[in-house]
Amino acid sequence: MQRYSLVNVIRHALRSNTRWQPAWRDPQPQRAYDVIVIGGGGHGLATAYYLARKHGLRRVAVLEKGWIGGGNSGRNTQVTRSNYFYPVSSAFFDHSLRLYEGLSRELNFNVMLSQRGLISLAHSEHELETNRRWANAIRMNNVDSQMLTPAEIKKLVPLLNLHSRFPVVGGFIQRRAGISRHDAVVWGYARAANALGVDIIQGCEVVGFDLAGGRVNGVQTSRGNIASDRVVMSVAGHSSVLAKLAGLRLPITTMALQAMVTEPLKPVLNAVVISASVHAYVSQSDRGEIVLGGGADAYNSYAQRGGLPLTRSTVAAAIELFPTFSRLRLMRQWAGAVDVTPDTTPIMGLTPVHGLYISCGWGTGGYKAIPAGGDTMADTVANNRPHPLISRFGLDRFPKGALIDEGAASGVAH
Amino acid sequence: MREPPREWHIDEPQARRTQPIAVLAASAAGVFQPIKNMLRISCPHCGIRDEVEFAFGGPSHVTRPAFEVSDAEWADYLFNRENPKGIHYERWQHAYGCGRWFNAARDTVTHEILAVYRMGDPKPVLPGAPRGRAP
Ligand SMILES: Cc1cc2nc3c(=O)[nH]c(=O)nc-3n(C[C@H](O)[C@H](O)[C@H](O)COP(=O)(O)OP(=O)(O)OC[C@H]3O[C@@H](n4cnc5c(N)ncnc54)[C@H](O)[C@@H]3O)c2cc1C
Ligand SMILES: [Zn+2]
Repeated sequence: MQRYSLVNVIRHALRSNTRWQPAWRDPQPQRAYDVIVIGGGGHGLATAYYLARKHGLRRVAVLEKGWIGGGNSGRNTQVTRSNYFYPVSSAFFDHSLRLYEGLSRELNFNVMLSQRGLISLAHSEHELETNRRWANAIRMNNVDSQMLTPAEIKKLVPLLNLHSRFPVVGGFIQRRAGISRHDAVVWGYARAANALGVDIIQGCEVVGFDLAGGRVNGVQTSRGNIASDRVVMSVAGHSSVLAKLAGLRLPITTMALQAMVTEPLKPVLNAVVISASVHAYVSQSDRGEIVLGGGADAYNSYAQRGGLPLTRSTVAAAIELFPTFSRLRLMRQWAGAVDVTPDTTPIMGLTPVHGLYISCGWGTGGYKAIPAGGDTMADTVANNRPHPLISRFGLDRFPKGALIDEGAASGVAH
Repeated sequence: MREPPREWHIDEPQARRTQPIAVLAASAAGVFQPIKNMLRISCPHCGIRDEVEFAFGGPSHVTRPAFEVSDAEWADYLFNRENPKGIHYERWQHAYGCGRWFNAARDTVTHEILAVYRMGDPKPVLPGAPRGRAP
């Protein structure tokens, strides 16, 4: 791998930048691998990377039907936080945030983590009470959080309208939260995995499994059959479709989650602002665009296209909070097919098919989980047992009734 | 049944058009004509109406098993879903209209509504099912 460094930038510049190598190879699929990872999103690529780096597995393939990062990992709003309510969620997501804090160095790729703080707003006394409970729970989980008065919020976010239709009566902040660059996370993991010998095979769709006696022996793809006795499914919105090919039914609903960006501005907003009540969240990207997100369309959808009623309500909520943004033009609006579980907690671990593993249910909030998801999934596959941090995220929590209703607890999805 | 409204396409690539936010918000408040990109659902009692009048009720034809089933079967009933890429048989309520529930068969890729039928009716036989093409 050609390292990215100041010295190399200067050396290449002197040669007119004509000698940069591609960041990853474009290999043909081999006949067999030690592990096959299906899905070239952040989770699949990070899993392959940690399998190679921490567990010494060299014959690993990532099979991606389109292009890497073409799914939700390249479509999200990049919110990176760990302010979860339950200890089990908090431990996992804070592990992820800690990995993010060292990720640019680990991957030799700038993921542009910007810990600018995430402010959750309260619009009523009742919501403020809930926020206080939530903020305290986070501190009990050993994660930073701090209550804010309206004046403190105004100081951090001068453009915010505190006296909107639903006045802002307070809120809380996780200062270590913020945003990072989603494409960089995907490309950084791909490049680093490739350097460790992982084959990243794009344009390769899995269309079936070779199963015998309750075990997996390989996959059928649009580019031929590939053998492996360890296969990981990390295909987000397509999890139900893929799992069905292995005879499994999942507690997943695929929905369209949309986001949109305005024309770029000079820096005006140096925090991520979330309002669960009016249901919008707002940040400014490093390119200057105002990034707006909201809830998912109510109905099942694989269309990767959000409906207009939600676009409108998101925009209406955002300009209620930031009236000045009403002057801006929207540049783009898009959606991803997100994999939502009944309790909004991910599903990770083993499946009833021996050698077949699953990482899904990331829903509206799995971008922040990519480093920890990859790390714990690789460990799970290498040892054929759930990593301790994800032992309660298994498929078996549903028959046991041991749900982790994190969405309800934290009151926000992203 | 009311007069069906003039034809329009739900697939219009609204995303490519640049809209000032204020126009979108104003249209949300009903100030301007609605922009064409939402479901148009035909309530069996009231006719074709905009998506915003309806509440989605999840998959239809989910049958509750007997009480003696295993935990696995009970969990399958409670939590597992067909979640197809293609035709989905689902429940809708005309919440801001007549209030009544009905079923629809809708393609989860194109969002096209292929059939509307009453609660309790069996799944309609649709030509060419299963469908759904890659986005
Ligand atoms: C609009 C939007 C905003 C979001 N905002 C945030 C946020 O602010 N913070 C946050 O933490 N999360 C956010 N998320 C959620 C986050 O993006 C996802 O949870 C996360 O990216 C999931 O990663 P993944 O690797 O599991 O899936 P993906 O990145 O979707 O990758 C799955 C891949 O599998 C491939 N695939 C599917 N079927 C097959 C097959 N049969 N064979 C081969 N390949 C296949 C797909 O092409 C795809 O590339 C958001 C999502 C959306 C859509
Ligand atoms: Zn009606």
